[in-house]
Amino acid sequence: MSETLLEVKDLQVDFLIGKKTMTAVHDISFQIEKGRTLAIVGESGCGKSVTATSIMRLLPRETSRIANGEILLEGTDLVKMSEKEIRKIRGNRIAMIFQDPMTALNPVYTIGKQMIEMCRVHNKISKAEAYKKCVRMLEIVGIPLPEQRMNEYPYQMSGGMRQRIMIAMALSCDAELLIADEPTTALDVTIQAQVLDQMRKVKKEFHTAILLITHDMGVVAEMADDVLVMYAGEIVEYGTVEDIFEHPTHPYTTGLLKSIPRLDSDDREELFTIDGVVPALSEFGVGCRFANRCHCVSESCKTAGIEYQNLGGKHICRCNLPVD
Amino acid sequence: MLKNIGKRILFSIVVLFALTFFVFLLSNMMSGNALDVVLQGEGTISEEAYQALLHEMGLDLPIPVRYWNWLVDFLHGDMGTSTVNGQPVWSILKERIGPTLILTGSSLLIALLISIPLGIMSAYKPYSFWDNFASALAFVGSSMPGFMICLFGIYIFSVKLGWFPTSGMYYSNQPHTIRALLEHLALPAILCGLQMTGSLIKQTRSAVLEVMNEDYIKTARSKGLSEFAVVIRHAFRNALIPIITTISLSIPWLVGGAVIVEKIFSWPGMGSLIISSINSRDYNPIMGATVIICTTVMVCNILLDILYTIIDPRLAKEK
Amino acid sequence: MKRNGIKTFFKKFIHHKAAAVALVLFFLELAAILILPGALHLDAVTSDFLNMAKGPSAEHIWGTDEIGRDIFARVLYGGRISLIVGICSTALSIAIGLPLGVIAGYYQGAVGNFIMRLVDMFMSFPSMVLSLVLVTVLEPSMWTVIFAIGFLGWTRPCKLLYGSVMATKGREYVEAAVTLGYSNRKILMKYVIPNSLSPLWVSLAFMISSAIITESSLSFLGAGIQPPQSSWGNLIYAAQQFDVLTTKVWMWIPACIVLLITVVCINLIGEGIRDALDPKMRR
Repeated sequence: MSETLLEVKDLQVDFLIGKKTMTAVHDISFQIEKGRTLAIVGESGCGKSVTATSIMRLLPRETSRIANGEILLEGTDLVKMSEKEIRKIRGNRIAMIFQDPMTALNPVYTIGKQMIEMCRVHNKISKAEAYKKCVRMLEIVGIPLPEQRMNEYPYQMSGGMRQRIMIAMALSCDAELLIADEPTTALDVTIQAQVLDQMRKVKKEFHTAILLITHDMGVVAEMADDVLVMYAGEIVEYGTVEDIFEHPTHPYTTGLLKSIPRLDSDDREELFTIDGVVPALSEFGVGCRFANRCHCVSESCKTAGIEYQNLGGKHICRCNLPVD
Repeated sequence: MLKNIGKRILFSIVVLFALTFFVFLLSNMMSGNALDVVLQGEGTISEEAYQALLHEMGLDLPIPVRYWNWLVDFLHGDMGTSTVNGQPVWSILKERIGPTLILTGSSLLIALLISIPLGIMSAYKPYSFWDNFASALAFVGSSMPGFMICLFGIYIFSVKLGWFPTSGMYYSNQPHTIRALLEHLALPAILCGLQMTGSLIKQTRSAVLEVMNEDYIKTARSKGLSEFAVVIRHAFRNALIPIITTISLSIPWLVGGAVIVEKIFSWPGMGSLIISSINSRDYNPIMGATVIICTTVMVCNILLDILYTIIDPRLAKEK
Repeated sequence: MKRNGIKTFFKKFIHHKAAAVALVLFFLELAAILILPGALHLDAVTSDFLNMAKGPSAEHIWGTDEIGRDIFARVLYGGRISLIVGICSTALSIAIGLPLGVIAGYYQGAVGNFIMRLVDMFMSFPSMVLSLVLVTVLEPSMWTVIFAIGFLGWTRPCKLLYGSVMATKGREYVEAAVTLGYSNRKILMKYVIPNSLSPLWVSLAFMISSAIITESSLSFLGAGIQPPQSSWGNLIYAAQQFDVLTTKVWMWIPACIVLLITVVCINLIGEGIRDALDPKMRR
């Protein structure tokens, strides 16, 4: 097994709404090894973006805080870092790309200026060196005529191209971890494949670890080495991609997998859906948070605390049901 | 982009024509028939002689022709003479342009220096001390008439505290030094600038606040930039467009405010000229000054339009 | 339904505490301005030659001006003028700006373009200077002041209506009305205009307060309401004399304070209306 790059332990994030404190994400632990891809899956609002953003310590300071836990980057706790120290991590060792490439680039600066800005924040290099490096990065992500693109503005480019530029920019300081927050959700299907290809390519080339946030099981199957399934701010299942896809254990995970449309099923039956909606943050009690939507719920699920079951290797599952 | 600027300039020229025509009509309305004014106290003359004189002065021509003649004279600097002291209007006006430019220019500068940092700070930390301070200042700025700000200012800082002179641009019977000018300029410029801060603070705050929620701000933070670089280089730069719109909309207000300030501080500019001419019903200087003020305001607006396209590359490429 | 709307509006309005206080204060002031002069037989024009330029006393509680007129009476009578000017000139602005804004927003095209260009033109003029000139040319009086302020102020309601009519026009119910083949007139009157007015209500109070400020500024410069008629602005005009400014402060401070209270109250009421009608705009 390879070296651990990032380890998250018992992470809890609280939101302050008015005078009330709400726990958005709770009891989250996972690790990412160098050069591997971890996908966090879950429906919108389950806390996957909050988890990713808290690693970068980019949550809005006025309304949220990391209430508990450690985020260790090769042993150093990011949570305890000062603003100044974490800035040296951002972009330099951990980089991030976002869901909507149409709005993630600053419209008033050229691509070149935005890329060079980032290079020069973290490395003491001349403008010319930074320029060369950025052009090379654009080449790697498959941007045609990179030198010309450097002088262009974001509005002159398509969404797919902008997302590739975001990837190039994110990796221009040789970050060890790339956090990709729904990187393909806002793109057309054909462009999605291109962007995922580029991500795989840079991962191989730079041996970058990727934390991929998505709600698309198809993307997970294509990209991930490990998978973390989240529901309502908690981990429900965690394991390698084989564990999750071949031996899904938690009823929520099985539900998610069953709801993927399949071409090979000959009878065109209706797609599987998970009934009900995610309860509001304030409605959670002690029991299982998925209880109200679970098809194999028992009385004890609603009253007793739920423990993780270890299923061998990395595979864990937060469910009281006996596992075969 | 050039096309847009060209359009704008063309539009301004049309506006100037409309304005001068309006002014021409007003000045004709006011002075009545110029011949009657000339003939006042000269006794009566025969109808034929009257018509002949009318023809000689060009007053029997149709209005558009007379307007054209007036405009040509006007552009040649012949704006008529003051009925109070008989001086040509242009020679009075050109003494007045400098002081007004100094006053309005420094007021604008002061207004920007106060409101932009305050607006940015209050957007960066909403509901903080600075935000509350800024919104209180903005409320006072928009609720207190300009002349009242000036009266209280002059009462407190000149009369009670004696920090600044109460009127004029230089000390009489002393050499005209820069220092004397600055001493005289400080209070009127600050008070005139304060009148503008209300809307500027509000606009800066809301513009920056809106931009702070944009994704590219998150990108900028995730790049590891300092908060200063994030706010100034990324947020403020994008917020500049609505801020500049506000500035260009408030320039006419600034000029109006300057009229009042000039009057209160006896600042020898065009505003106080307008007021004193109004009080002595001396119309030609009023018209001349109005046209010059409006032209300057329009030139400023065109310059700000050009500035837009420098700030936002998307505008430069449009059409 | 309609009644209920007013009720909830009022509830929300009261929620803005400063606005509620301002409303009460404003009504008290209004009552004083309307009732007191008649009830106390106040005289704002006759000079008391025995008490010229005297400070506050039992006889003249706020003192007298240079020619012995009672300041208290002049402030109250001046309030009537200021409020009349504020309300009438706003009404005139709306009377001009509303139809033009509706036409420009609904029909757009060449006519709309022309109207909005006209708005741009008027907005790029220093309106203070133009209203000064206009009032002087027309001979200063209350009605010419109302005309000048109202005439130069039409751009604001016009621009507001233009924007909101354009937004309303794109709504589904208007499109539905179009597909049903209703006449333009009916669509405008029944669907578009009633649903486009809220920005106007929001800024109504601010329009009135800024008209009051403009009136007082004109009068302060000697180009507005002319003595012996009084207005807050021409009372403060006295402060342009140095000895009045420095030593006879009773002549100008009362008018200043009353004017300030009025404008602040109206602005706060405006904020209350804005918060009640459009919570998104709340700061």
